Amino acid sequence: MSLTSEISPATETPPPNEGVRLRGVTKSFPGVRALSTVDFDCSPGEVHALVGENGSGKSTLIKIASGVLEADAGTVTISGRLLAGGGVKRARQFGLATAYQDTSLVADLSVADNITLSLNAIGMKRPSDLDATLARFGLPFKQSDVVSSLGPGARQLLEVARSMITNPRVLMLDEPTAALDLRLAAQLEGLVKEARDSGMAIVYVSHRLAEVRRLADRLTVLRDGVVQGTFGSQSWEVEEIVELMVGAPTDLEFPQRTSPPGDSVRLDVRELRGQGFGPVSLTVHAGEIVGLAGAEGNGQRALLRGILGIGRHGGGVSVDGKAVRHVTPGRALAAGIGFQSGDRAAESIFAPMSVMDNATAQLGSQAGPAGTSLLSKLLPAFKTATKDLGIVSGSPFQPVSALSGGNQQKAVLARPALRQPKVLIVDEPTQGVDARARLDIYRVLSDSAEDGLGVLVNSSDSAELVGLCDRVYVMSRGVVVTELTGPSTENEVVKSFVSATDATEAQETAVSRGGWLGRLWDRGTTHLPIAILLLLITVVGLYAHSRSDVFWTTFNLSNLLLLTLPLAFVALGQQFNMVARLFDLSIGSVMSLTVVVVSMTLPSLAFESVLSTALALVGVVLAVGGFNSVLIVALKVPAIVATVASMGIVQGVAILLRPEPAGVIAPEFVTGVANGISYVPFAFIALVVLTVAMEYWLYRRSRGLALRAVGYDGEAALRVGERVTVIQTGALMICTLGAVIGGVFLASQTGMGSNAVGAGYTLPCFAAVFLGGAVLTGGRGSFIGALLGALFLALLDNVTPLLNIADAWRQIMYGVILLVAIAAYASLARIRGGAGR
Amino acid sequence: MTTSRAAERLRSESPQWITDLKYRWPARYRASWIALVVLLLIVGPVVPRALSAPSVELVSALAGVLILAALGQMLIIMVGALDLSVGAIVSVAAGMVVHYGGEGANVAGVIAGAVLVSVLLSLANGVMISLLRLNPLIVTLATFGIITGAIRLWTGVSLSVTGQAPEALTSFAQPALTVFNAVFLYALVVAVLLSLLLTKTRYGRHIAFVGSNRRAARALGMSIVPTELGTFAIAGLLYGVAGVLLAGFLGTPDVQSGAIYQLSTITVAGIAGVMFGGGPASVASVVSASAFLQMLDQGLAILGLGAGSRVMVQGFVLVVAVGAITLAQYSASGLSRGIGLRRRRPSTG
Repeated sequence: MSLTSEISPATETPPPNEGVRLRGVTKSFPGVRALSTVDFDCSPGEVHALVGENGSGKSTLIKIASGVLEADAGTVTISGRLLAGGGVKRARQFGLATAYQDTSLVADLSVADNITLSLNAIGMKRPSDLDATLARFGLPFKQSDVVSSLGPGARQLLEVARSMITNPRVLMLDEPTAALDLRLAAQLEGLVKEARDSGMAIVYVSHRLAEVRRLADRLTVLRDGVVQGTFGSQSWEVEEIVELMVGAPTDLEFPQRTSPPGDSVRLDVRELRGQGFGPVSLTVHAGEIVGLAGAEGNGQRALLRGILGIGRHGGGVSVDGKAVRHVTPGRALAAGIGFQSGDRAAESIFAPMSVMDNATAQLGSQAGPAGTSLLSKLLPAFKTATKDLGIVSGSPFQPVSALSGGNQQKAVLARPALRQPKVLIVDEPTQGVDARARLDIYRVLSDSAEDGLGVLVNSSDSAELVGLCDRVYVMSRGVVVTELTGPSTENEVVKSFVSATDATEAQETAVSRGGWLGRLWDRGTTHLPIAILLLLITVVGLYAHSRSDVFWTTFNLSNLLLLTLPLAFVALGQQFNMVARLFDLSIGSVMSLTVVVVSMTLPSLAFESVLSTALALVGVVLAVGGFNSVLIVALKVPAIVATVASMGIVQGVAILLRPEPAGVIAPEFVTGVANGISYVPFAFIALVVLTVAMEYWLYRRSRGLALRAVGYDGEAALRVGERVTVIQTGALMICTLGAVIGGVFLASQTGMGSNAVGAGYTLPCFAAVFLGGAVLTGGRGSFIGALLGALFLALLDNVTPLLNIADAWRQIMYGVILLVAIAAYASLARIRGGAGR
Repeated sequence: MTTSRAAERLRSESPQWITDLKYRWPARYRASWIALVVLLLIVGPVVPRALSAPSVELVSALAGVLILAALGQMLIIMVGALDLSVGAIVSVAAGMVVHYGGEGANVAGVIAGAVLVSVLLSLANGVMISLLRLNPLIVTLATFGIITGAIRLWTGVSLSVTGQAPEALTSFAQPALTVFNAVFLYALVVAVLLSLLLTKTRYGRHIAFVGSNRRAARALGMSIVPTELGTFAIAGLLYGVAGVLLAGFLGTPDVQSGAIYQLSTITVAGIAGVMFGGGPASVASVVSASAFLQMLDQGLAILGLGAGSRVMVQGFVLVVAVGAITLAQYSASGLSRGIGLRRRRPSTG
């Protein structure tokens, strides 16, 4: 099953390395022009640095060159060959590799699997001795470690190493040192220099100008999607570059406050501990702006959440001297702590709702008496806030998602402006906000302090902290290491946390505590369900045997295995979907339709009948699978909604073809299916062999790995060059195929065409796959598990009449089993999540 | 800022109230009304019989039940879930009224009991989805099975000896005011009340907030679980009322009477522009979408289409509606959120 790529780098004589060249590249997203006619190139043996602020278009540029995004206009040439919308795979085959800041690693897979995935995607095989290949990178972890157990620094290093493994002609590094400590950063610098000297063209995105100074042969500045200039290695000054990046002199931005901070303590945090931070003690006085600084990921955000009671383990918070008991976000708000998150999309704005709704989200009794929320009160409040903050929107009712980042953030800051808290906590107040909106936001924060609020700001922008704050707490590895009073320069702040990071101590690179537990779990989730199911099947079988003489007879056992066939095939198909993080509700209808079709085309086992049946069924697979794929993969309709619709349509077709049960299915077929060795039908033996082969494929073969990767993390799979849409389409098709094969066996049992026989399979099908270890978040699942799940359910089906249990009980039982299965796995996952961190 | 304001003014030459209206009543809410009007314009000349008094009475009655059930589904979709058990719960309410509402029964008590059971069943879904954070699809698929099996065990297929809904109920649900059946009018009253709840109370607005962005709502100090559980309870109440009125209108419902609402409520939600990821929705559009779907069904039935074709058409309508809304969203917010793939971020504290 080895993969041969269409364009094999080995066979074709490659043109001489010409690096990467972008000409006139333009890219717009709705409402934003990310890049305007950008020219950029990088020659072999050169490090070309790309600098710019957040949102200046650097990442877009990288993604266009790597083939993740397609440019609206302009061309990308890699080593003399035109990329022309060929996608990631083509870009990688031309010799361009990319290491992303947020990595393209699948967290749930091992280091070795991640490397294999990346090599497979461009048709290469995993080297026989991976350790030797990795040795030159000096990675501080083993190839069997699961990526999620690595620290951010280790992950970043792995991402870079993985992109260098294929010796690409062009290497794009997006903020490669952002999560690294000094020692690892130095190690990485060495690797980059080595690669450059060997003739690689290296595009280096970074905002650390000192690093750029040491490494880069050329430097290009990008602002608002426009190239501001390109400089030779020694021909630039830091101030000049910063000015080009920011677009305006930086020292004009900060408002001056007139009244000094008061003496009374507004927020008092005592020995607060929680996930990823602590113990931390800090105070914020009335009228004071206090900053939190530190390298990204040193517990600042976790601390802010801890103050609200999210992920808090111990310690106390008090406002104006009054302790907030058992603090939750709701209690914190009631006590006067207003919190606005920096992760706008995930944790701050309500994208589909209007600006006014967003701005007035926290209004309490001002919105109206007795729990009401009246437009006559909201609108004036919103208008006031609009004027104070300078929010620009077409209408108060415009969805906030249609506004620029700056206006969104202002709408967010209108919340505390409208519901005056005592303490205002803001995380990254100006991230992704243009320079003008920044000014307004700084004014709002400083006005709040003037009004006597205590303001706590976490920011990764040191200039912001210097310009805004009276004091700055510097955090490193979850604790406050220094407190700066009235810091005067950016360098002072940056130096404080850079020197706080102890360079001799290996930071975050070691495998975390959860490592071995995590691995045990990863094996466990595949094998545990199988063990449990085998046990259950044995117990139920023995019980039935003790209660009924009929159970352990050849006839009944053969019957049981035959009964398993339809459910097992449809469950195997569905398991494909579950692994790929998809979902298909239409399988029941597809089974009904199959039975109806078979009843019309297979009156006997004559050659023509078999052929026409096969053709008709292939038609069903292509039509239904294709329809589902178009909706889910191409149009991105939620899988549930799409398949609820196709369920209706397919059911309708089945009713249309056979309004009433009719049509005899070839009797030879009906009896033939039951043939076998002793009580085991041949079809069942085939099923078992197929299942084992599929399991082997899923866990040992490259396409199986790709399928799991797509389920775990589609974006990562896309970034390494997997064709995610093709894989998803394949999964949906195979699921429909499974339902059709299941339907054929069902037809052999009904012996007659009927439009309603398949509907009852939807519920047990999902019960079977969840019993088989599937999770809705994708990536996991076992085909053997799904088969055993189907066997177990068929067993219940078989023994209920033997034990004189009413038929309705079966449906109840399926439902209960389904609930127990998902609840059990959900709690296991939660326990693991708790223990691993 | 001045330049962008000027640009804003240039762009919107229409008066402010029209701009406001465009945003308050966006295309996804308007679609179902347009569809209803177009349908009536077609039905008028093509199948005039569909607009005759008896036909309108039937359509309005069934639309009334559909409105109630679909409003429940809408609430559950608003908090980001989906309910596949709605058909089973409606059947339970209908079944209980018949089963316990025989000779000499306290009809009001029986109805209250049926509605209460519906609320409890939906609340049980809510506890598993909101509190235990289990997947809504799987939970409601499972409860659908459990409830369907249980009602068959409990009441039998024909529900009671006579299979008749109590007379007090039928006389409440069957009369017509002009050409509209009473059930439709009751549903409209409920719709108005629900609309007021959703737009004019802080609790109602919190439903949309929680559904739009659960994490943000939590960080902003809203009480998530009570809001969600309340939503499930209200949905259960609506299902219960729908089931009771269905029994009242049909007179002799059976165990399967509610089954059609699994597909049709989701279809209505699709036509009404309810976003399947959660978030704000329009009660009025759900009303018009229900009327549209029921009228379409009636028109097709009169044209001689069988049950199968009608189910098929319903599926197609859902596909068209959801497809259109998805495409509209692409052009509106586009790829600003990146490619529609998810990244699972390993939490690093």
